[in-house]
Amino acid sequence: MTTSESAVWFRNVSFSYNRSPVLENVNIDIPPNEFSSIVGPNGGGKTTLLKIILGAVQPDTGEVRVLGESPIRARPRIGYMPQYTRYDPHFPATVLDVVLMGRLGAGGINGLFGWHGREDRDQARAALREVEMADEWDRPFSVLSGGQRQRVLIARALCCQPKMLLLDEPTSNVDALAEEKLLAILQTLQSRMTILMVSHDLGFVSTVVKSVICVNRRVLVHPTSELTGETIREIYGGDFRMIRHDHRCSEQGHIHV
Amino acid sequence: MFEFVQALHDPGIPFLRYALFAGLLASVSFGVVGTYVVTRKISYIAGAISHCMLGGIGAALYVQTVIGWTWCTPMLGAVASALLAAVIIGLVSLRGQQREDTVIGALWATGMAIGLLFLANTPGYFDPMSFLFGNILLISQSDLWLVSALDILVAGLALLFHNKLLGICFDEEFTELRGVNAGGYYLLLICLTALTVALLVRVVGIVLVIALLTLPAAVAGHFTNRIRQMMILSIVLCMLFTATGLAYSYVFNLPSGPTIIVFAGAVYLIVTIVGRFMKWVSHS
Repeated sequence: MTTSESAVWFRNVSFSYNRSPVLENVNIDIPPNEFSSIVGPNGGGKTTLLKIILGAVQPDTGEVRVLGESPIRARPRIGYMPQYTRYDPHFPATVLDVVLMGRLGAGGINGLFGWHGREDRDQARAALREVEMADEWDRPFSVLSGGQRQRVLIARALCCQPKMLLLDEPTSNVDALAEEKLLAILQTLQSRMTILMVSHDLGFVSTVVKSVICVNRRVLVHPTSELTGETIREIYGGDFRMIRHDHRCSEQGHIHV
Repeated sequence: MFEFVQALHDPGIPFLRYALFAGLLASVSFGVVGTYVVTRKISYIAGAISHCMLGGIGAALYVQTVIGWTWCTPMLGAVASALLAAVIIGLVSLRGQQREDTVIGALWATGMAIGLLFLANTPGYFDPMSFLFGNILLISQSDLWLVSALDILVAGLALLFHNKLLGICFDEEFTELRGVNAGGYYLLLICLTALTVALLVRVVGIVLVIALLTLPAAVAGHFTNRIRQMMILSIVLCMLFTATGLAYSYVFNLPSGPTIIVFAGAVYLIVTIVGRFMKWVSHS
C-alpha cells in the first residue's frame, strides 16, 4: 500500500521526552476504514502516538503521513475526542453548544468570529442524530450521564465531517451498557471512516476491533484474530493475568478494568 | 432609599451619580467576562492583575505630580498596568516554562510594592486606602468617559468572539486542534479580564474588585447551566449589587466599596446555603 492510500503511515518514527525514549523506530500502516484499538501500559507512549498523529507533537526522527498528508494539514479532517476526565462537570454549556465547538476553525468552517450559521447547526444536529442524542440538543451538558456525555463528545468530533476518528479512552467512566451503545455507534461509523481508539480494555478490543496497535515504546500492529496471550505478554512485558472477556460470568463476577 | 434617589438628583454631589453610572455600565463587562473567568477558573489570575494595578496607579500619580503630565491619570495608569500584568501572566502560562503560580504571586506582591513606593515618593498626601478599597469621591467625569469606552470595547469583543472564548474555556486542547489560535484567545480573555477589573477600581478598589467579577457569576451559576443565561443573570446581579450597595453606603454613611462587596458576598452565601439545603431535601 502506498502512503497516499493509508490512513496513518509511520516510517521509522522515534520520539523521546527529556532524553528518555518514548517511541522507538515505529512503523505502522493503517489502511482506510480500519477500526483499530491502541493498547499498551500507562506511560508506554499511547498518548504520544495520538499526539503525533494529530500533529500536536513532532517526532524527533522519521516520517509521518496522515490521510496522505502531513499531520497538521490533515488535522481539519480528523475528529478528535479527548479523555473524559478533563471536563468540568459543572460547565454551563448545552449539548448543542458543545457539538458546535467541533465546527470552530481558523478561517475555515465558520470564519474569524466563529459565529454559527444554519449549515453549522444542521451539521451539529446531524452529528447528534448519529449518536442518538438528537432529542437532547438543548439540555445542559452538565446534567447528562457519563455515557451520554461521551456520545455528545463523539458528535462534536463528527461535526467536522472527519475522514478519521481518534478517541482517547472513550470507555473509561461509563458502565457496561453505555459502553455497548458506544460500540454499536462506532461500528456504524466504521464504514465511512478510519477509527483509532485508545483503550485500556482488551476485552473491548477483541470483539469489534479489526486490529490492535500495541504500544510500549515499540509499536506492533496485530489483526485481532491473531491476538494471543503470548503477543499481549510480549507487549505488556511482564506479569499480568489474562482475563477472558468474550464470555459473561455471574452478576458481580466480571468487572472491566 | 428615597434619600438615595433624592441624593442622585442633588447637583452638589455629582460623584454619587458618577459612581452609580459607572457601576451600572461596568456591570455589563463584569457579567460577561466574570462568567468566562469563573468557568475557565482563572479568578486567581484576575486577583493578581487587579493588585498589580496599584503599581500603575502609583506610577501615574507620581508622573502627574512630579513630572507634570496631567493627562496621565491614575485610571490610565491602572488600565496600563493591568494590561501589562495580563500579558506577562498570559505569556508565562502559555509558555509553561516557569511555575505559573509562582509568577502570579510574584507579580501580585511586586505590583503593589511598586505602587506603594511611588505613592511614598509623590508629594502631597495620597491615601492608599482609597485605592485599595475604593472611594467614589475620587471619580471624575473623565474617568466616566474612559469607563464607558472600555466597557463597550470589552463587552463588544467578548460577545463578538463568544464562541471561540467558550471553546477555550470548555476545552482548550480541542479548540487548538480545530485550528483556532487557542493561545491567542486565552491571551485575549486575560486582557479582557484586566480591562474589566480596571473599570470599577475607583468604586470598589483593587482588593475588592475581584469579588465583583466572580460573585455575580457564581450566584448565577446556581440558577442556570446555560452560559448565555448565566451572563445575562450575572449582569443583572452585578447591577443590583453595585446599586444596592451604593444606596446603603449613602444612607448609612458607610464606605461604598466594602458595602457593595459585603452585600454581594451575603447573597452568594445565602444562595449557596439554600442551594445545598434544597439538594439535601430533594435527596432525603
